Amino acid sequence: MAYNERVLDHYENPRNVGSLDKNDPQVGTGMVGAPACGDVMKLQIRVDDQGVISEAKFKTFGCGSAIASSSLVTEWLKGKSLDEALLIKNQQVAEELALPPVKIHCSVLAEDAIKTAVADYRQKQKSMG
Amino acid sequence: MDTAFCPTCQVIQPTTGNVDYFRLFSLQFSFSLAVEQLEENYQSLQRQFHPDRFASRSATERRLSLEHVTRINQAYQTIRDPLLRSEYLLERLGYRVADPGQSEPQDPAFLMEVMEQREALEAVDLSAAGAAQQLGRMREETERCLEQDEAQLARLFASCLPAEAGREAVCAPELRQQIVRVNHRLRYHRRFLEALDQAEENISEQGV
Repeated sequence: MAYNERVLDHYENPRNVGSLDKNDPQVGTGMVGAPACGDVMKLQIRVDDQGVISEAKFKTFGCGSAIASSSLVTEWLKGKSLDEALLIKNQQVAEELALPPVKIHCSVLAEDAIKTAVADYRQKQKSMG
Repeated sequence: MDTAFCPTCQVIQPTTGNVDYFRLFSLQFSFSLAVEQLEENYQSLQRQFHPDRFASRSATERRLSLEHVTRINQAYQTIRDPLLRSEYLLERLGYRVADPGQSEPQDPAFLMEVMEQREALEAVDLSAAGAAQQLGRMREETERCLEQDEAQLARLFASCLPAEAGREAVCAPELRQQIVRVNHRLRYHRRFLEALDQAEENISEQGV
């Protein structure tokens, strides 16, 4: 299958690959998988004292579209508040990368990863009181 | 395959829409496979429908024999492979694994395990002397996981499928959910094995 240029760019030069310390209270981790194809995606955000995402990292083992989707959302996440982050929808990701219908689930994965990371961060903050 | 040939004129007939792959090979609807019986019935069907046998027949009959052979091969590949077999059984139970966008209950602990496995593989220095042994150990471990997955699937499918042929298969929703989960593990482990293959290939390329 021929990949779109923007997908290729994110695939060949993925932004923000890496890990943050998942035990850091300022860090939220989202781990999601696409069981139907065996992909796994880890998305992490660091939230500063103002509640703004200062850093976002990802690690994805999967197809080019899954890597591109997670790379793209890490770029979008930086500088956003948590509520703004939750407004990122898979349709925007799919549109930006011009994903074909069979690859839409990769963008869904990225959206789920954001939700899970934000929920993880909020859970941590709550348990700290 | 009783309907594959006309009972009176013995001429080959078109394939019918939705044949059960297990019934095609006279196998029980089960994850545990009677391998010998499958091989035997596969060979005999192959012989029965082989295009060579229809070489002197009409174009239509030749085409039909090809259709049958194609379907027999597809059924054989599906039943032979544990992952495809599991997904086929699930499909017959009303669950389509490949449906994109269906929301799956995630298993974070397992996903973490997958991520760690992947990271460990990524950390292997393929140019180092011990790389092949390291990959070999990972392979052994993954193969053990695959065996476990398959054993679990056999047990789970056995508790939801009636042994008698002819009766529709039934499965409680909770049980099916369990099967789906193990099926996904199987897929992840298979994918990891492919990644190991790739890494081993990269080593041998470096060696040249």
